[in-house]
Amino acid sequence: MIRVAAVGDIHLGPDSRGLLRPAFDTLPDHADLLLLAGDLTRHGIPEEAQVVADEVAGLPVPVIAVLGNHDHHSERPEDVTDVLRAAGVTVLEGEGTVVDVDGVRVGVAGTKGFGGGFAGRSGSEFGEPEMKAFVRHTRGLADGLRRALDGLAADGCAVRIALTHFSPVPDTLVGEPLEIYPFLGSYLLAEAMDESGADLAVHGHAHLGTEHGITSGGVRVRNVAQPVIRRAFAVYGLPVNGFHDSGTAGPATYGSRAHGSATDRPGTSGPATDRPATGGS
Amino acid sequence: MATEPDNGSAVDDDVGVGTDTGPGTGAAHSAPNTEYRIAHLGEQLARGDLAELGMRIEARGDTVHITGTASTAHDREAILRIVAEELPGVRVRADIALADVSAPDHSEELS
Ligand SMILES: [Fe+2]
Ligand SMILES: [Fe+2]
Repeated sequence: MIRVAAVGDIHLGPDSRGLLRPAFDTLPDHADLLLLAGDLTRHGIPEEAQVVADEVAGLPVPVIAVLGNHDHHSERPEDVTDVLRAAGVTVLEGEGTVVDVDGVRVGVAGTKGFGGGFAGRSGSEFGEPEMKAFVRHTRGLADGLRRALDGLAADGCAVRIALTHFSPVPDTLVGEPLEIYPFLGSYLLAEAMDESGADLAVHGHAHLGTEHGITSGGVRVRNVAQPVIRRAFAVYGLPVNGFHDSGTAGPATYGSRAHGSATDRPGTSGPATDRPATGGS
Repeated sequence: MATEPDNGSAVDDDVGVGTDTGPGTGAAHSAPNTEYRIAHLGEQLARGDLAELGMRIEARGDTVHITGTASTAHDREAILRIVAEELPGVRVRADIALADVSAPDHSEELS
């Protein structure tokens, strides 16, 4: 069993410094990796990113993130990314990364994603340049996600997770006003996941939404926006190749999960991720 | 919420309390405009230091109802202050929860 911790929309700023660290310090007891589903800052400035970086720096589990719309607000996503990377966070956009969890290759493919709406109720690449650019942005990011997931499959990942900020499905938006669904996600993200395959999809962005959903291809979707999960993070246990390891009878090649902790791994000062699985965009 | 609000709405801010009374009330200028003021409040919350886009703000009868989750008590006070500034004279009912940042006590096992 791979244990995935995830949270999005923590929206940290200088006055929320230290808010999440006590809970994050318990991560080794709960999880093998931590996913951050975007909107980590309020305005997307380096000072806020530094608060996020300090919150996760030195954690003994790999930390993998995508940015959200708030992290783009100041139009300095590269600076935000640099600050997070300096603290050991793997920041994905149209890329995948592989984490080795006791011999199991766990792949995470990430993109911010964008809006546009859901099948039958979505915007089209038509008309004014602004409208075309809107839909093209989503399509480009969904294509990046697809390539990243394909790359992880080619790379022999036993478990693949799609990490986005915007939602791939309407299910997890329930609680938000219907009228704004097109600003909250796009079916193009779900289509990419269904075509390339994924064992779990994790997103944020919809603060008033619902935790549970599923794509039409059967990929489980979880909205981990912090106001939705009402905890510092949620934890999902994923079977490896359908095998449920309760910690007592894991196959030898996967190692024992009896310790239930990632702290016995070498290189605890940073993520155990190795490299991007695909070129991505 | 994801909607980045527009800038520069040209709505007249006549003082008026209460929800829209519907068509047939005649003079546009004297029509109550809580609806637009709610929209402006949403803009103010998003634009300011809070960058708050996660509040649901809705008229319910003669009351404006605000629901959502704030990161800290300080943020919640700041939100309520902006609400008071933007909607003077309007009855407001706010149910703003504080974010729970405790570690989870359970996990979900997916098969
Ligand atoms: Fe958010
Ligand atoms: Fe967002």
